Amino acid sequence: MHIPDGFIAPQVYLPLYAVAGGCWAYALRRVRRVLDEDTIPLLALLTAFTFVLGMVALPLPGGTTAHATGVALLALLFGVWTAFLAFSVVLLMQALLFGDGGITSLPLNALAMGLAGGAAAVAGFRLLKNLREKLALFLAGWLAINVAALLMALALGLQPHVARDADGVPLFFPFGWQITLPAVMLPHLLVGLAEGALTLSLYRFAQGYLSREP
Amino acid sequence: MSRDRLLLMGYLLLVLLMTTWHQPWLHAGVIGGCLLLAGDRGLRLAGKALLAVVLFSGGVSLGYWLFAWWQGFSPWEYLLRLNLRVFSLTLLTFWLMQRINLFRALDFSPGLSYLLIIASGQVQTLRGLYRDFRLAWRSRELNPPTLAQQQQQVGALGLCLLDKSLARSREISLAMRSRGFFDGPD
Repeated sequence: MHIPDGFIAPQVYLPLYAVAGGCWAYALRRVRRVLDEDTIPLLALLTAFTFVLGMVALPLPGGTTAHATGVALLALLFGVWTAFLAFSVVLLMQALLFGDGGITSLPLNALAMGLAGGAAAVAGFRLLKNLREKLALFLAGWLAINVAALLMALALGLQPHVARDADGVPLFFPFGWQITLPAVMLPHLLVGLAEGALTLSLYRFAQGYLSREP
Repeated sequence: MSRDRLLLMGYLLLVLLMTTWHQPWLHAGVIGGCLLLAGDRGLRLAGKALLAVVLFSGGVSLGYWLFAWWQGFSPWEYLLRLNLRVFSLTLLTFWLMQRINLFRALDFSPGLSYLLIIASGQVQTLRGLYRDFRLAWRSRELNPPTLAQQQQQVGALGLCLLDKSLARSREISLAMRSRGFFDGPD
């Protein structure tokens, strides 16, 4: 699902950087209230885990790729803003050190996967946790993937509308929403199942660690 | 301002500029420049950059080529422009990142720097463990693992990773506390 450099037009990524910049500044202020010596080891572990998951990209029809993100797990354990910041660091490392994703697509990747995905996971979990916690955890992971995929598909499909040359040829990503929405969303309905299972299985394990006496 | 931060800012400005270039020869020029400046490492960097973008760019290019064939127009101008831009940006990133210390470039924020250090440290631990697990698995099994075996392997790797990385990240957090990281605002 990570988009490389060269596919997002400056008309899109520059405003997104402005939005993401404000969110990063806010998250940086908040993160120090959450982190302490007890939560740091698990956050570090999950950040690294997210990094490795994000490096494994599966090609999808229409030219995009799919990843398990682990962002739902981060958001449920540490809160949306901490997850967003940690995931943004993962994306930054992936973009600069491994060429997975890109610096121009960083704000889109971070806002869609890290912030919107994390927020959707927490909202879904809170909505259903009193009904059935296992279902709520599974849905949190599924929602994190699919909300992020929806935003990615919308952003990709926007590109040919905002950047064309004089002859009408697209300058960046070439396909509109009629292609990006089904091409991105349909596979992610399935990818979300894996993310849901991942969130369900690791959340309890991580909770057990967090509640353990040092 | 440190050299690393200046280089990072220069890189970001160049990336911004390059996304406003729509003439393929400009991107070809950046590719040539990177390869020349990289010297002996040029081909290796080019291969690494190609591997990094081939799935996404290849998928989009193939889709666009099929669409153009179906609609009866020539796709080559678009494909040349897109692929040269994507490749030049990725090659530039790889080439410059060999020359920038990212930790120093981003140390204007202790919080960001802290997260970057922790994350990169744990990634190294994870990758090392993963390599060890894979080699251990291969040394004991002649046949490829089944899906159930792979799941068990990932679970065992996760548990091992937790134990190993806990010690390392706790050391880092204690070291940062001893230097006053948690005592005051950014």
